[in-house]
Amino acid sequence: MIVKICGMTRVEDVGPAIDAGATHLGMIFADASKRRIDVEDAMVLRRAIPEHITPVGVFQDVSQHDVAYVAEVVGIKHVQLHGGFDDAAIPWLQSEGFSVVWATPVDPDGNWDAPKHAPDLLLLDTAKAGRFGGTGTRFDWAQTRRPQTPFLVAGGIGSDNVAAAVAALRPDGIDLAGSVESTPGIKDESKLQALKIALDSIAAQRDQPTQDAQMTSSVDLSAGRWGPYGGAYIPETLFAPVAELTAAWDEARADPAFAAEFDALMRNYVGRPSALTRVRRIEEAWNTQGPVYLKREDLNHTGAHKINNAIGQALLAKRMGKKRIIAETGAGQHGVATATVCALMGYECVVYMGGFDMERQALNVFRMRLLGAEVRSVESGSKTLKDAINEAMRDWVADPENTFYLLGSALGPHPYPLMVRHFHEVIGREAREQWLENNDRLPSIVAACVGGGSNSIGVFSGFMDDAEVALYGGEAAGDGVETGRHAARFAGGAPGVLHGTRTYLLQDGDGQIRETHSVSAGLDYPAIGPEHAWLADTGRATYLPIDDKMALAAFHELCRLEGIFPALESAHAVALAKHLVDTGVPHGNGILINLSGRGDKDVHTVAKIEGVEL
Amino acid sequence: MKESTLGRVLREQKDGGLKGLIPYVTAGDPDVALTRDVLVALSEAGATAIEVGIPFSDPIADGPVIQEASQRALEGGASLDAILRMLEDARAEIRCPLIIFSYVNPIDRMGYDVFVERATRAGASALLVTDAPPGVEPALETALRNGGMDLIVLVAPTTPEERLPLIASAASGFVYVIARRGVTGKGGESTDLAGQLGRLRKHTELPLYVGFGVRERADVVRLSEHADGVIVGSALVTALHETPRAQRAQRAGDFLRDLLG
Repeated sequence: MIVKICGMTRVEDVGPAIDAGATHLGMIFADASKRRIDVEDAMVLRRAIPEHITPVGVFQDVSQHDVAYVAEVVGIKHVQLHGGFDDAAIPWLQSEGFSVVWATPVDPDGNWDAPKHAPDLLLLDTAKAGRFGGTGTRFDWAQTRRPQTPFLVAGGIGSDNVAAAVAALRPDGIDLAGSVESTPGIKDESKLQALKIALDSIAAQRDQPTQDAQMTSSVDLSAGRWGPYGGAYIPETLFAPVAELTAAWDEARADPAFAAEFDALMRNYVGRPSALTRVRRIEEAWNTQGPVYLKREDLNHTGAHKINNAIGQALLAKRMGKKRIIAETGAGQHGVATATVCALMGYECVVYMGGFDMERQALNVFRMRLLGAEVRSVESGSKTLKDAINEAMRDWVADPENTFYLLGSALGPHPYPLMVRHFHEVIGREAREQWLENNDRLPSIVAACVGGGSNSIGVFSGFMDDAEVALYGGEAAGDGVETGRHAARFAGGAPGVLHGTRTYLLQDGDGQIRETHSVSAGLDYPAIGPEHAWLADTGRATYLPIDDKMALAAFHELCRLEGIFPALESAHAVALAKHLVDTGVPHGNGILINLSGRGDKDVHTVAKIEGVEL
Repeated sequence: MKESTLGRVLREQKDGGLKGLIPYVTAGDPDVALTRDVLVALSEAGATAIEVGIPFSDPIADGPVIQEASQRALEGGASLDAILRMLEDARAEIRCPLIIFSYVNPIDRMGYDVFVERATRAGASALLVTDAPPGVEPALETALRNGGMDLIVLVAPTTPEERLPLIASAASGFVYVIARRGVTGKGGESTDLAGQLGRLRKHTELPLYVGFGVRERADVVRLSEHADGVIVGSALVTALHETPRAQRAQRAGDFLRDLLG
């Protein structure tokens, strides 16, 4: 991606700008600019720019001959025409050997005009109150038609919103100045540093596996493949059990009786449909452009969305004639849901849970035991969700004939990601219908938290084909992505293979899985469901890191303003929505937040963080 | 494909009516330097080939013994990179073929082609990937084939009959027959090993090696009745771990000689 940092005036800013990720450095020769540089200073600055970085001269309201002359003197091959030019200047300058960037103004409605002659690069910039360029304000990315030729986006872009800009318009590059300055023309190192973190995060999302052969762009759901992601990376011993599961699932999925049994339990046992609640006091506090609604999965029996999938898979286990059900759990919600259905259907139930998670989710451990499940503490590795999955897989390997592994998220080997998604699609289906009962248009944004990715894929599925709905996932940034203590796979990970699937992982340079950190046990996991990896790569969904602090603030806000305790996992979704509002992501048609679970289980954790003895 | 060193050694052994013995070690437990000495000792003691286990943080197919060994190895700074460097350095002193035994991710991270190039240079002639059975990762299979490395495949007691032709066509070197269900390092074996091997022989002429649950000479003798050779893993890893560091290389050689009888 091109990163053009513009308005360079000082030699000492060149190094830090390049460190921050700049590929192009702009020098502005326009008289009207606050960042104007004169030709002599520009010649000095030009010599300080290393070979691999492209200097760009920015011009306004002068003749094409002046542009060529100044560029020649300074030693610049790239010129940006930023207003006051006839577009015939484009081919003329190109014939003189220059590469031409043509800036075009975007009006408040998102309209812009293409020049008659093709420039080498188009640059979309905000037009405001008669001014064009250097306005420091963004245009409406969501409303803007995306150019079909290479283009940059400019206008009010900084570290806080660059990811959103890239997600909205998928440009070939960005152009910025004011957001990395202390005063016009003077770059600020800490702001440049913040930009670097934001750009690294975008780069990580675009990081593709290097195996060309895997870079098929096709989606093959019969094999659970989304491009290079998904698949079934399992030991040979599990090949037959997984094949048996796949066959049983394909058959059940096509059987109306299976669906009817599932729907009846959803209605009469889980209490579906779950409510859609408008949160007006939140709208007021955040000063939103449109309505905000919560999809209330917290109101389900057992207090979270997890029960949808647990019931679906337990019905499948019954169909397959299995005798015992095993599960892993992080926050304990999936364990409780599994223990619940096992009680309901009379199954022997073993739940694997990391020792660390058992400590911080003691209430759920006790609930599972009350429900008759055996909870086995896993003491290896980080003693969290990933280690619980390792142990559950080993159990399954040991006795595949009698055991059904009831996996709790949209991850693991095929067919789990698709099967789990299927059972959670009810969330998106209901939410879409309920939204349209209350609103004329679909929401601008659907926001959800993403651990393994089951609640998010469930709600996203209802809006996947609605191009006007932006899908956002919030990953756990723990203490902050820059600290290394987090669980943000897109912001800090790279593709690889774990727990049976190829997806984004938090791993080190040797391919070892890194330990994760989040205040929320349910998001404390180093991989993400493979479909999310694909949605991120294709730009259909955007994933942003939300740290512990933001999540805790959202937890309190929802308690105080709306009388709802969100699970700490779901608090990440609320914080994500607030972040999108704060950074100006358009949401005129409203925001739908999937409130995946209730926070009763987290009250102890919150009390402990705040030093309250219960 | 040209026959690899491993393929030739195992075929000659089989043709000569001899039984093979392949030890497994978790490389880097407790550090890579010591593993070098252990490998040399195993080679000198008469190992047919050696499986060099690459430690992985999340070994889902392994029991507690290899899990803990992997953990110790990672804590000791082991990595695929460091292990390959050590193997390259020790190449002249290890006379038997080497098989890299790994989960997919460390190899994926290095890049399949880079891995094949480096492993070959380090004298490894085969790869066994625990979590990518035949057909799951074509890019890896292609890279191995292009680089002339064998792909060692596993056959489990649960492997369905109709899958055997695919497995046999993907296999080279030898076929690793899992003698029991479950993770590595637990005792017991499937009741019908002879039947399992018989079914497999219909599909391949490659030597069949049996692993999982081999502890002592008696196991080797019993399993060798039907198989072309035996693999010993967790028992050796445990024996080494229980031996003081200075005597481990010696212990490795003694352990293997005891099994060979």
